Amino acid sequence: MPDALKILFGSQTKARVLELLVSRSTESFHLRGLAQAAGTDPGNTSKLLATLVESGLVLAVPGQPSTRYAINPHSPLVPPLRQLVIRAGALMNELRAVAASLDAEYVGVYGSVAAGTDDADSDVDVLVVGELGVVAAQTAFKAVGRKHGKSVNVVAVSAATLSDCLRGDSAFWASVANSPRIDLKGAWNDVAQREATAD
Amino acid sequence: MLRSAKQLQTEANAFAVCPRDKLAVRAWLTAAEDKIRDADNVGVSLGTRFEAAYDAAFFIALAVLNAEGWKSRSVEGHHAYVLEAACLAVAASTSTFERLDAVRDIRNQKYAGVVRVEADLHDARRVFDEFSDLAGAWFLAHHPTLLK
Repeated sequence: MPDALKILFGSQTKARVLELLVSRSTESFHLRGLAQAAGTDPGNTSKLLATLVESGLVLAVPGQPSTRYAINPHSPLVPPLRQLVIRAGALMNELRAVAASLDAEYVGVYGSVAAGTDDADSDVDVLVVGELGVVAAQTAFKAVGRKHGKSVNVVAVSAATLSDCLRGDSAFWASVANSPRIDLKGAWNDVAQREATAD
Repeated sequence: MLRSAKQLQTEANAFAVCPRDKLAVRAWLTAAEDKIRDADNVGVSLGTRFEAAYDAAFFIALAVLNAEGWKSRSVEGHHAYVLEAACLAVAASTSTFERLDAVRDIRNQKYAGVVRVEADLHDARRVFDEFSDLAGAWFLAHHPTLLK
């Protein structure tokens, strides 16, 4: 799967450093720790950080033994950047790859991650619509969750069950239907519209 | 890569050393047998049977760890640690652990509107069988006297 962030940002270093800083926005990093966590070259990372600090996107906080870097929470660019990173970053790419392998007509992320209100401890909520069992679906996402240090919680329903749920008086399903989602496989509007109007 | 009880003791304070206890091992294994009978009881709901299949696997995991001289501590996530360490002890694959852990995740799901279906129970029962077979062979090979 193409690395959308690398394509958009024009370099692997920019993509990985910004992805790390934005997705771990409550943390600050020393240069070497940041480069190691992002998997980038420290020299190139240092040059990039200098320009990001100059742009106001990243804060440099002098400290011992060295300066620490963090995303600037007050930058007006950070909220849209965060949305971009969430939707096109490594976690979502890997979830998409798993979703593509499932016998499901729709797979999507809902909840706090999709809404952009998640924090470091937030789970990733995934809805699977298909004929596979929830144990198989939950198992499929285990490796990605482990790699990213995230709990991935899967709700798996058949299309017929989804239809019943959408027409039932359920706060949970109303929230799934009406809150932001990130489609990983298939399109929510197609599935939801069909099931909401099914006889 | 699965982690041992010793690793998880170091990383998460998830286990404490305890003396091997033949009566406790027997009690866990008997409880597991009872639970898997409950899982096969068609007279109760699929949700209850699903939970019983999970409990049966968890009790076997506790028996394995006790036989190895460990007891679980009540830290957050201790069920997952117990399953992981027990899977490593009996040489279960990462895949087996992940499916057991998925059953645990689903058992813990708290939301309204979706009930368990036959496929869920089938998957839980199948991974229980895999783990139970490995644990049985492991007990026979390493701790046969605990079974007598």
